[in-house]
Amino acid sequence: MRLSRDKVLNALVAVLAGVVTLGGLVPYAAIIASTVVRGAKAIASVGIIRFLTSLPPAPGSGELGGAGPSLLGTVLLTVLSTLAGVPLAFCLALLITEFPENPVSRALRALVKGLLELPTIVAGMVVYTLVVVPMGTPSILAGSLALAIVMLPYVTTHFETYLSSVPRLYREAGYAIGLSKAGVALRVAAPIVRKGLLVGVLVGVSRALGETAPLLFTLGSARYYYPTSVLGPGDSASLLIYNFAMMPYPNLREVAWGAALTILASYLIISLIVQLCVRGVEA
Amino acid sequence: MRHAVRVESLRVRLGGREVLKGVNLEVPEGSVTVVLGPSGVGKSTLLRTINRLLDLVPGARVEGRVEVLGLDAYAVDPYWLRRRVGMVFQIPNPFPHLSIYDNVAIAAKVCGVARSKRELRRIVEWALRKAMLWEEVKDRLRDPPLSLSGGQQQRLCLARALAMKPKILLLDEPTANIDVSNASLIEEALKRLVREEGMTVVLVTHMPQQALRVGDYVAVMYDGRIVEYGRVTEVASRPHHPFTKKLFSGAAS
Ligand SMILES: Nc1ncnc2c1ncn2[C@@H]1O[C@H](COP(=O)(O)OP(=O)(O)OP(=O)(O)O)[C@@H](O)[C@H]1O
Ligand SMILES: [Mg+2]
Repeated sequence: MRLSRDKVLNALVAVLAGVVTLGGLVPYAAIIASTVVRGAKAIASVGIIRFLTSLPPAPGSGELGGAGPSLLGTVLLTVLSTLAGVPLAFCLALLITEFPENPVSRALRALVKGLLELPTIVAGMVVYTLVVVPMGTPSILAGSLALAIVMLPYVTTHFETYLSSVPRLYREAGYAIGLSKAGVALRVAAPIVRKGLLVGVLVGVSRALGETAPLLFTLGSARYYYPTSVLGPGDSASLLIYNFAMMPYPNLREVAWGAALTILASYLIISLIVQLCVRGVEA
Repeated sequence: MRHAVRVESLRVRLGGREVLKGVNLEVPEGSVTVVLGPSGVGKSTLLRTINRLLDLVPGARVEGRVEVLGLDAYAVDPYWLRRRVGMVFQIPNPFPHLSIYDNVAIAAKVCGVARSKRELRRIVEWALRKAMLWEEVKDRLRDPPLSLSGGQQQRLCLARALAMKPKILLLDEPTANIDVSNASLIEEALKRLVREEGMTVVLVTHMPQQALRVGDYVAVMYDGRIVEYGRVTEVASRPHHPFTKKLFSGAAS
């Protein structure tokens, strides 16, 4: 009697949880489905290569086109901001985990936690004031810096989590053979959690791929020509979507859907790699 | 007689609690000194003051004097000190990201005892032989250490410590977590290291039988103090302190 009541209760909970989960997933499924359907249509109508490389069509021309400059911009922004943000995040995470008692590293930890809460547009504002105004022009470099600021706390927090998860007994083994603090961090702790650190890098890359607000006043909007220098204006896929999606021209909205699908596909690839890594970390 | 380690009126506080309450100990060169005592009396803490691993414990306060190889341990560079003193821990802790070979090689490299690749290979083989592991791993040196059994891992850790060519070897209950046959291999390895290489061994254990098997001298710890010290045979046959009496009456039966 009692057993069967438990069974019923279990089944009930399972069904309820299933229904709630599915219900919650509906909007996401709708977003993904419409992005895939519309984006695939936009990309297919010009061909993948042309979509990735050609310029957007003139507004209202009725022609189709690609998002070449913006996608190249996203690639450059992602690479540059990762190059700037990840090493700094790694150093910060090392400081915080290896000198947990030090007042400086305590302050840095608090700062990093604070930066997590920072509205990302503030990063754009700061870079606008400190870089764009002195340089006299928005630029890919400035946009990358803004993105680096945005990704820094996330990547640092991930690095910190993984580095501090290294069991003490391995650190002690490192110190016992005479390794310095830096030696233990770089030759013992970091390599033990290298896959976790890669996850941290990919978290940063994902941020850089999708962020829009920090680029609003730092990047410019050079989406009809290819950038010639990272010191000049550029564009990103996210900014292109932001601009084209609200346009009254269907041919531009098509391009926006195509760009959205491209970003979505990149996310999918990254999240696959992360899944593989996380499995490796736990093994 | 020369002493590899001398500890004088050593007091250690951990987290506000006095863990060592005035320890005096002399470790004669070229012998096995066993530190024997029940759980929580401060055996590990004592060992960790000798190579200053205790420096890593936040809030640890050390008073008194520790001499290692005739030098004030708390006046020299701790990293320099640790390269001259090998240590094996209670839980086998080979570096999981390095191969069997590299686990041993890294210690030799850090301590700068090998000047060429060939010399490094020689030292790694020597260390693995001395740790009585060579025959089991010589065909799988590139494998990860976690592919070894726990007892083999512990012998790998011994080899890693030996690759530094240390004069002093500290072992913190090295056989507490491994099976009997692996334990006796380690005990045999320690005896040979002292006999053949003239090493000085400080072995922490809570097993009086182990003290009888490998020890030359024994220091019995109780409640943060060394309550009895002497040649193992003498202490075992004529114990004074009640705790030592209880310990060895159990071991004899
Ligand atoms: N970081 C610390 N902070 C506070 N107290 C500690 C700390 N580390 C150890 N202690 C305490 O110090 C005492 C001695 O610890 P220690 O590890 O030296 O004992 P032990 O003799 O090695 O015991 P065991 O045989 O269980 O390994 C214990 O009571 C322990 O609780
Ligand atoms: Mg202990």
